[in-house]
Amino acid sequence: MGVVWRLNPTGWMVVILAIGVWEVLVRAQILRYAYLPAPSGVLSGFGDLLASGALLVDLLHTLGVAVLASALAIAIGVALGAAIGLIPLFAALTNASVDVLRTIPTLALIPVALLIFGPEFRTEVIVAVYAAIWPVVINTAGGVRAVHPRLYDVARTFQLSGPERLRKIVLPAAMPAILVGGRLAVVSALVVAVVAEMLVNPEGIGWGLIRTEQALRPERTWAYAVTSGALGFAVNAFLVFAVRRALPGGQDNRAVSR
Amino acid sequence: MSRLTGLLPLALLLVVWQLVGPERSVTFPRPSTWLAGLQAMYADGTLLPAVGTTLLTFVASLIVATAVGAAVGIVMGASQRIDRAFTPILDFFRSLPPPAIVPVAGLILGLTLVTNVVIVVIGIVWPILLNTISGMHDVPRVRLDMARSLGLTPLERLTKVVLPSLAPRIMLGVRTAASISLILTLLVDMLGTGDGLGRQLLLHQQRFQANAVWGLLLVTGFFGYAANTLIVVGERYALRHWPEGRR
Repeated sequence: MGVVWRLNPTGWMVVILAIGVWEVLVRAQILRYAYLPAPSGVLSGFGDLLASGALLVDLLHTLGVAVLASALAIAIGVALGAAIGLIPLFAALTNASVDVLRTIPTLALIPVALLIFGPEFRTEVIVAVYAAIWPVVINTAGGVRAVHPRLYDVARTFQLSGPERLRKIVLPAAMPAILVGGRLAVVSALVVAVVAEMLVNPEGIGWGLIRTEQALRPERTWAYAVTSGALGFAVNAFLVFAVRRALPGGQDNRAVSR
Repeated sequence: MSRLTGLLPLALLLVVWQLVGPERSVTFPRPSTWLAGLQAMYADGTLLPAVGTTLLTFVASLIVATAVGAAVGIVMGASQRIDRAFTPILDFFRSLPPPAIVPVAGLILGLTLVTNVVIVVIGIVWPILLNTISGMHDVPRVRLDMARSLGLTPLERLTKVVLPSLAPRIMLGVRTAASISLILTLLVDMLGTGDGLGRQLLLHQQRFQANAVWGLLLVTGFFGYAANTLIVVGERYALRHWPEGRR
């Protein structure tokens, strides 16, 4: 595939065209919504937020929470998932409970978390961890369960101890599945962090969206929305890259990461 | 049987909580008081309308998003050129955290029952659309050729060849969309002026009526579980002609 194909000039032309049409329609007052800014307005809102430094602070806050929450979720989730995958009794005792807990809509937990922990930073992190942990648990458990029995024979031949077996055989073999879970975890953590900022902890991009909406500054609300999209895009691109790098043996991970 | 043993830890936790938990508390009220909280809401007539509103928003938005996403996806996926032309825009919407759409669209459209559905649809349509588009690329050529040599009309080709071939991919998108919709349905309610479960949760939290909040969490949890089950059943129905491994 050539450079032209990869750069996709038609695609970017459509983007520019769409923005141009939007600008013209709003300027000509054909699209008449009280709170729909033109792209040029969004751009100036963007400039204001950049100049005051609010945008950067909010962006870093949301990114920080997403990273912290997904790190916690992956650490706890891998441990829990490995236990479920390795110990049949534990799995029998917890599977249905995990199903019930993971289907509770995270949004419904936010009011409960507010009552228990108050409108604070830790509440935001806890809620984001809760949302991010389940894909890790489920994927790790599945990955660990699918480890080929012959690998355990190998471990026995080398007389590996329990912890060694876990570290050298089980976790590497389950790594593709764990990585898929981890990727989903980061995305959920980001989404829930934004929501929690709207409802719980008045900081970050989520709060920026709400604050500017309530102040009736739609051009700034749009600037925040575009920023969150760019953040999501960057995070996604990084994850695809990281997963490809982290997968051992250069497997065709498109099949895995779908 | 195994389902029941799997619920054991959760049930045990609730029993212990009931025995040692405080009667009145703003954090962890006893489970038995949750039902009393729900009872009170049922009595003053706010519970059932709230469940109805949330259910309606959830189901309506999922149906509309599936129809729109599949239809637009089939058109866009049919031509590589159109697909390429919209790739950057779709990539942006795919990576946009869905909750960010709510304040932006809320400013333009306002947050009423109808616009709530529209906003949720805008938030959840992307996985269905993207899966349909990539599904269109995977429809085996031989099937389309065969449809043509059998002399099927375009409509017959759509209903007898294209849609059945796309069903697994569309359902994959629907499943992702449903889990986002559970978030957005409650969020539009919390940020807007609706009377759904999200609003009730937030109202009771602001009044520190913990038993009602936990009761509503129970209802919402059941709602999420039911939605999940519904999707699994719907998927099994939609894919009933597909062999088990090929879904």
